[in-house]
Amino acid sequence: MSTDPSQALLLECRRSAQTVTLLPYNAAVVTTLIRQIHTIHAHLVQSLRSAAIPGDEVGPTPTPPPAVMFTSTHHHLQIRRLKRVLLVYHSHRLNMLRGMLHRAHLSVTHLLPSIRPLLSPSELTFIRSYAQISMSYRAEFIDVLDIAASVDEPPKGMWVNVRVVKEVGEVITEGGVVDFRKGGRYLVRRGDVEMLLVQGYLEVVD
Amino acid sequence: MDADYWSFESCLAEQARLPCTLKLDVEGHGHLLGANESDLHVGAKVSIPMWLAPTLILNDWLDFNIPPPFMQRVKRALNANARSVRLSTLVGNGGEWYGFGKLVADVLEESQAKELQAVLLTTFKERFVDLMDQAQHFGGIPSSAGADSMGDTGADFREGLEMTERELFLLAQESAKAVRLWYESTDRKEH
Repeated sequence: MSTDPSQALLLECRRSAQTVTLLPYNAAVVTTLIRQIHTIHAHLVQSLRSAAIPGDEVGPTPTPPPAVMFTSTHHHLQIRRLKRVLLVYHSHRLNMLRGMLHRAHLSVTHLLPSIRPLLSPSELTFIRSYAQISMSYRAEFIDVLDIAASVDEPPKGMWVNVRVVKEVGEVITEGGVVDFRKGGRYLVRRGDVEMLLVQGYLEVVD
Repeated sequence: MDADYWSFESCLAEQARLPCTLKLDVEGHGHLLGANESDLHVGAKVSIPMWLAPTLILNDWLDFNIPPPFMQRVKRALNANARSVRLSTLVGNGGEWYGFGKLVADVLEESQAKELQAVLLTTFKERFVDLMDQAQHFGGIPSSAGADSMGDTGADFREGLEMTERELFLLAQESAKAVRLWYESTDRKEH
């Protein structure tokens, strides 16, 4: 009844959390649940209307008989339950997406190819706008701290040996202009090249 | 298994069913309650999911008894040796014994609720020690042969773990692994 599709969504949440993977958006079940909500709601309105005692408009509305109260409460709670399941499912997915976007250093272009088929249209819009908001927030204090930078490995020192993997060209660093030639090795300050490292142009060598 | 609105585990725990009896007549509503007929009368037995039960009970439309997973028989077995009871088989469907117990305690009246809560706590504390011990030393849930004689009783215990205990078990295993990895990596750097 109302348990099987909603249970399917909840179990998907559990599986997705246990395996740390994003599963495809289950549009079919979501639509089913929304339709169920509408059906129950229509049923509820209908039963309340037919149970309404046509009293005078002046006096207070008398309480419907217990049986009606019981069934309407039941319907109401059913709707609330379906709503909760839908909200939990979506919020779980959005949280995962936010985490994935942060791990991809706020780069939508980096993240999108691998997960695009798994998303619903609204989730796609969400990722794009969230990345945009985060980027403009980050720009405000990027000279002090780069919130999109990697935090997995704390830097071991101020300077780092790098090798150029992809052609970069001339880069303005704190110590002057450096011409990064492909295949060349350079000793540079970490702060200067952090972004290039993240984007894959440079590679750390020990 | 907290009462967090946003927790899907809490949502799943609430799907466990509670056998109740009706205190009033309802017409045409029987099927929605999972019964075979459409009209139900006082005394009819229905099985109500836990997200629905508290309101219906508190409004005095349903009566219920303590469900099987928490009855005297189980309590006596837990009293004797909490570690040997298979909690996973007591509650079907993903087996959340503690989660279900908490929800039931919420609808019970004071004295019974307190008793049930005490049982849940004591059971958890006793089993937790073994759970952590095994997580640090053994492989996954029922592993194959190759373990010593202690391994057999271990496997039984691990099979009997209910959902929440399994999650904790996995967490403990992973953290033990992570600590070992970190220890080995830092060790190398010291030279």
